[in-house]
Amino acid sequence: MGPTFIGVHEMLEPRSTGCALVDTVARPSDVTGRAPPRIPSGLVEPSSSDRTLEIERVAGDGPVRLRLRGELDAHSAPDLEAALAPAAADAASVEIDLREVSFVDSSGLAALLEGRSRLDGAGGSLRVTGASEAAERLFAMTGVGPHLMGT
Amino acid sequence: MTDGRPGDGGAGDHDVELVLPADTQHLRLARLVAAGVAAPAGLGVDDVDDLRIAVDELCVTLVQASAPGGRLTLAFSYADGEVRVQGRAPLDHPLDPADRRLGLSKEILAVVANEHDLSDRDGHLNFRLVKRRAEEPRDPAH
Repeated sequence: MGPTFIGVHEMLEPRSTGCALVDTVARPSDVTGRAPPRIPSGLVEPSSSDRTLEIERVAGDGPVRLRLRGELDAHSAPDLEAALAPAAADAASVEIDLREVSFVDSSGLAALLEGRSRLDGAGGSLRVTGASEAAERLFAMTGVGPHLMGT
Repeated sequence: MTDGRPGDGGAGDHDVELVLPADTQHLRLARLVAAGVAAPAGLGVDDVDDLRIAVDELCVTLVQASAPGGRLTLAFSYADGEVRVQGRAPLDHPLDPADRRLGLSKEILAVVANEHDLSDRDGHLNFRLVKRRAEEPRDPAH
């Protein structure tokens, strides 16, 4: 890829997170608040340098609040599923903010719907509290908005 | 990647070919190239968004059906007001029609693509996609 390609990228995807990929993906412990499990000596956590989604747990009492930034696609959806798994185990109430998500695809929607099903089944809940234009458009196309946003 | 050859998909004054590992890690690159060919084809901002989504959805389907280590080939042909994309990846296992993602993807593609189809032949899963410039601006509700 030459400099022309980079120029196209910068021009056509101004809403994306650009080439600086985010690697601060939430770990299960970020959701539950529990101490992270010890990593046996000699093992190293997989590199997440190619991640394009940041999942931040917002501090506070009440529901577990997750703020997502970046692109929620087939590559990053497993990160969301991993972040939600311990919340389901705890039957937690989870609120997800998608207002800073620049791209969503069917994999991202499926991860949200699967998370909601698991949390509901465990006695918890999942609700999307805010959505970017990109997310709202996908919600409208597929009709999942009312299921996820409770509207 | 090549540029400037005659197209074979009908739209065709220009071709861009992209070959990459059939892995979700590279979906972003496929979306970027889709946006790159949409601009000189004269597609509007909303059309470019639609094309990026459509290419992503179809590539995910190919990647999920492909064997590890497979190669995903994308051929973009574009002319004034139209982009055609053909995708191909080796088929390792059939698509699961009960897969929730696949159902959502079909609903999304019905909105963002003017034409699209998936076909299985010669041990490969193939897609064909056409996106044309919208005659009128998009309804904000859709």
